[in-house]
Amino acid sequence: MAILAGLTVAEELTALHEIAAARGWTFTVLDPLRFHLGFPARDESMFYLLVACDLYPVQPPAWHWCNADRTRTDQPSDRPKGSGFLHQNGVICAPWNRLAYKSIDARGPHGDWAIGDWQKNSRTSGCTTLPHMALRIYIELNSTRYHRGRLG
Amino acid sequence: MDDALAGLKAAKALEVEGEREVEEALHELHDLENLKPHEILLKIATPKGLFVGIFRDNTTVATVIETVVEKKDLSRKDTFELVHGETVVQPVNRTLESFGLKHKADLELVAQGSGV
Repeated sequence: MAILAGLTVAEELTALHEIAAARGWTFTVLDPLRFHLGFPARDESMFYLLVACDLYPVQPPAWHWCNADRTRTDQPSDRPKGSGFLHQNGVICAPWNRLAYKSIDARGPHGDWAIGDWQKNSRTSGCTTLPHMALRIYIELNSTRYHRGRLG
Repeated sequence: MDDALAGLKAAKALEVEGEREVEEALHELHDLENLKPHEILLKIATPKGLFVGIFRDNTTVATVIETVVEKKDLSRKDTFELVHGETVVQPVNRTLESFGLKHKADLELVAQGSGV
């Protein structure tokens, strides 16, 4: 399982690295199954994510909001204030985020989603690769669903 | 000593990054200088990396999406949308110019409906 995850992540991170370099996003691979990503929101404030990909793609990755130097995760001061996808519980509300599942994380808004079916969930649409997920988060942070500011 | 070495390493990394940025800026300048009237340089972030292409300003958004899907070998099962800043560039039968795009633009291409 770890080998599959490592190979899949390595392949997908090539595209993400290319995008990050072109857009001036911060991007650091921490180990074969974890990376740190930072990009600006529409008010030009920076948001950062620590992404854990163990069990990927059997299970979706866990997208944790974190700080720039990776010393803390899931703190209100690092989470964007928003609606819908940028859930007020402080997790990204999408089937492709492991933290959205109540069975995995108490803050997860969805007890009705089956984590093993994440790629078939109609809400996933085509968002089944790491660069696609990163692009979607960037787009949300630059849309009106981001309410400018942080949860704490 | 360790601090000095770490500092040196960080400075070197910054220097390399700076050189890369200058090189990219020169490339971009070159591309823009060579644009013909009514042409737009699009840099589109896609799920399969970056697509860079030059289009006429009267090209429809649908044609741009179709071109990028083909060139980047994206799944034809998905319906894609182009996003520019806060704007989803729709309807797709309109031209690039009609959305105020000119000279150069950074866009994202993602599957429709992948936001909850």
